[in-house]
Amino acid sequence: MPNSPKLLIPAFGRLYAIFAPITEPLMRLMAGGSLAFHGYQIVFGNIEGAARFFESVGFDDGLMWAWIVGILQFVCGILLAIGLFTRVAAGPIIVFLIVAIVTYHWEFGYNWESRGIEYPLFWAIVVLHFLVHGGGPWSLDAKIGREI
Amino acid sequence: MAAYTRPYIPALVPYYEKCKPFALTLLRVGLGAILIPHGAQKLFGLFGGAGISGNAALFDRLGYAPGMLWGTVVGCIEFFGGLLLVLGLFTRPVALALTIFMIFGVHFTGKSGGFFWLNRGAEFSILILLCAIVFLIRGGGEYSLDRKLGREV
Repeated sequence: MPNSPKLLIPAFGRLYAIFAPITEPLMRLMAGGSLAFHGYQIVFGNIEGAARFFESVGFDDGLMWAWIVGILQFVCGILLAIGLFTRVAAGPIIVFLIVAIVTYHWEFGYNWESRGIEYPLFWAIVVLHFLVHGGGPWSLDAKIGREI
Repeated sequence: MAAYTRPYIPALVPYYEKCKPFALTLLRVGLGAILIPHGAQKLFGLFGGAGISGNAALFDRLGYAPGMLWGTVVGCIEFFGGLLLVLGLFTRPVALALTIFMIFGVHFTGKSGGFFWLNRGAEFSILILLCAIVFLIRGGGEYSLDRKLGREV
């Protein structure tokens, strides 16, 4: 990498270089996979429960929103995790997380333990990284050789 | 960075390139910033936290004895480590400490809450752990004091 700092222990440089390509897929797998897990619970689990939840927080026609959110989480989550159409998947996820923060988590304050904005906010920052960088060298996008 | 994909919309590429130096920096600053309030809760009792002695008692209760030692160590990693991550100073040593701490964090939250974060599960801890590993491997990167100083572990 150009103009990177001089290493105090140069021998570590090789280790860093070996592991550098792994860091992005790790984040992608977790940020996307975890979201897909949420979506899976809505779409293939308790869709009526999710619909009641959405109506209770002010989304009329909760069943429609449950489908929209569930499918968005499940599909975009998987795409992000495997790095296919990475940027196309990252956009809706960020929009969803921001909507979730504004319409729901905001009133619980900051702390993640009490459903506050902390986690969705950090999640959005992680996904934003992939909106900007794309899937990276270890992704299906790179395998295919084309991306948005 | 070498291009490993051909863009569908080449006109967007300059915008990606312009944003790229900021994305990882934002992640580092975000990671650090998110830890600081937790440390301030534990060390100084700010933001409705227990403060240093209350926190020590909590860690004792949770089985991390002596709580005064481990509670304070965790508080310091969160508060001072978070601050250093925001600045990008000593990024790798801080990230190493955070990685070790978050392995325990994942274990603890997973044991008590399962996976989903709305049940206080492990998923947030896992994401923080992975982001700590990112900076353990990559160092401070752009706009960090490490790079400004030109030396890094």
